[in-house]
Amino acid sequence: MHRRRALVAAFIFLILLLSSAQRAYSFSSSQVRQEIGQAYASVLDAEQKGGNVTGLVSQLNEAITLLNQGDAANKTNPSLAQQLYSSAFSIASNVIQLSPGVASAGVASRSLSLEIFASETAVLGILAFLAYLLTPRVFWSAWVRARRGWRVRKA
Amino acid sequence: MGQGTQGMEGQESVIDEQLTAATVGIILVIALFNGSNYFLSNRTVEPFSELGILGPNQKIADYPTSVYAGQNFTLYLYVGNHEGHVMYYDVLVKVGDRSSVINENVSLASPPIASYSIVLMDNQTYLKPIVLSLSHAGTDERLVFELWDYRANVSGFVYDHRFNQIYLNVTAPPI
Repeated sequence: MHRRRALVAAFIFLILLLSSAQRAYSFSSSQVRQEIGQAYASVLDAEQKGGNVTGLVSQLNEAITLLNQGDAANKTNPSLAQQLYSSAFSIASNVIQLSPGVASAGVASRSLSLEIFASETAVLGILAFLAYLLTPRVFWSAWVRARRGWRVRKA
Repeated sequence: MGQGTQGMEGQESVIDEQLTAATVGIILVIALFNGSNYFLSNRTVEPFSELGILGPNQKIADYPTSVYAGQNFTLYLYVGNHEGHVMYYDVLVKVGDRSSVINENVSLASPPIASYSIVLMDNQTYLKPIVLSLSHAGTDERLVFELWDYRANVSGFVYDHRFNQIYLNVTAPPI
């Protein structure tokens, strides 16, 4: 019974220790900078795969602004700087998480536009072939139809 | 009579060929336009970045020539991305003098007094007022602006071979 209580107490103590450690975890300016760099690399990759990265870029710029504000506040108000660094870090992490989805959407969009291009090219090829075969016949039948009412008079 | 009919048939045959050639030609032109549109739409022929420093009136003029040490002055920073993809730039502001070495290949070996970071989409530009001040008095102080860009393969910023500079006489503040 005592052992069980001791185990429960140790477990609760461990949880409290972990949660306080998490709360006390602080980011340095260089860590945030590094995370933003990684986020940029993931955005670049998503863009190269055809993804629309407009939203991600504006989030990255928001993270950069927060980082700069954190750097400015670091000497006078370190706790405010920590909050700003933490926000910047979480935005950059969010960008890293969102980038693969944007990249997949880009790949799908590229594949669709390739399919559309292939279909258009095929249709134009068929049209060119039909034009080669049928243009004179279509033209002359239209020519005759347009002059159906004409009468020939002796000059 | 026979000759006349043959002549007319020959004329019709020429018209047939011309009509066919014109129709097929138009379709081929459309196909070419469509193809070039698909293959060249996202291609950047000559990728480049822009760095500009504008005076306090947002023009390439009216730059300050003389300031007091510690006095704030405003300039406008302009960065343009035409690299064909998203870019992460860092503009470093450094101070040198006439003997300082800086060119397209070598950045100024001085610590930055300020830096401005921005991520720009392709064909996007950035214009921002910046307030600077120089702490030490000196003649012909060289205020250098260097453009650096982030390279994912080195996980850091690399000098982009572009810089701007203005010369300033910095005098001791009046007592």
